Amino acid sequence: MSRPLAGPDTPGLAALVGGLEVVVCCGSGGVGKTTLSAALAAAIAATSDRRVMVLTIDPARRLATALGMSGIGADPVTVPAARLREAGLPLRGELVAAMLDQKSVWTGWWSATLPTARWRGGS
Amino acid sequence: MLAVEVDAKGDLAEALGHPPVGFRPVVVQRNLSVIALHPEDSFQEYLAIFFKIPRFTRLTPLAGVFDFVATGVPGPRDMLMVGKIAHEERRRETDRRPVWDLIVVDATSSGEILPQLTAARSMRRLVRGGMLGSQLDFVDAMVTNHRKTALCITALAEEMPVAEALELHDEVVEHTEIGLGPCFLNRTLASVSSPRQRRLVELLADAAHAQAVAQVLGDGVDGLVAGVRLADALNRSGQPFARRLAARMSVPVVAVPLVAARPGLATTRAVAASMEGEG
Repeated sequence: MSRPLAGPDTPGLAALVGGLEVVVCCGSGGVGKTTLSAALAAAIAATSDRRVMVLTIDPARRLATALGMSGIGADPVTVPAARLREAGLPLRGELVAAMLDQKSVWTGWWSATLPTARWRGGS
Repeated sequence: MLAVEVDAKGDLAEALGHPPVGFRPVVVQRNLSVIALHPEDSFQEYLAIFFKIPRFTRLTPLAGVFDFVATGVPGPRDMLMVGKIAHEERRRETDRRPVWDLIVVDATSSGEILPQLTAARSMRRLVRGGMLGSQLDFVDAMVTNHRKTALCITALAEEMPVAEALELHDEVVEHTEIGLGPCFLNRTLASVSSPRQRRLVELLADAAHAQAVAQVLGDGVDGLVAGVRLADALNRSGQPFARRLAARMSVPVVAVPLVAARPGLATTRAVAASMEGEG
């Protein structure tokens, strides 16, 4: 199906992703996935009162850099609204960032989702 | 030293003067142990190590294991990403409201994303019922629910990123039930000059005028001319790839402009602003 690049007739961002709960940004290496993820999350948090979490699998600090933070860990951390406002990104909603730390996430998830010792491999 | 037999015929241990061995390493000679790998045993151990699943969990017949292996065994990393997303998507406040209205995932590169997103379904073929089965069902249902989840492919207006984006697009459409969101064509360079402006720049660069211009400005215009030419060339070279992407994608392609700045909040703000402009 042939479609034009985004223009006046292309549905806006809100229409394209507005009702979704999970947006997974992927692509070849170096195409700007992290910046786009951060920007998409910020744009939605700026234009709606939604609580938006941006989650990176990249252990490098690219997402933190993109959000003007010194670092991001496995626990979700709120991106300071004041800092975003100073940078010209006033938020209506809330923006939270986290990084996938393999060990802690893995342990935590299975501990939470497999509630009995037997399923967790205990006796 | 550990010698590993993978065809489970028992020949290797026998050749070393020892009765056939099993899945546990057996010392057959000084400093030499042998192990025979059986796919189902291996997979059971894999599940036990990485997923803490008791070894008595029923699996489908061996054919299922082979199918599973053939379609890409989901390592911990594969389940990790989709599992984490599912966990966060499922979190609720005490009043049952979702903790997050939207989760945006800065995910892996094109070649790795589908094994990750389909890891739950791949595993589900092997696990019958039980708590793990229902967990995998939940993850798979989240990933394949088009009203909840979308995969947004990102590309640049260059040959390889577009080729890989289209390859991933086709793979998703033809072989998965995952929904696609808008495709982002990042770092697009709109034409920065009109034909008249380009003509003016070329005249400025002309030797006949360059000296006079330099006298007026107190400096040459080489940098300006080179910049306009470069922007023009980049714009022209990217257009065929941008057109190809838009023509082949079954979803809208959103052009995100190049922001000439170091990565950081300013860049994020500029890109976000351009996205807001789309809305």
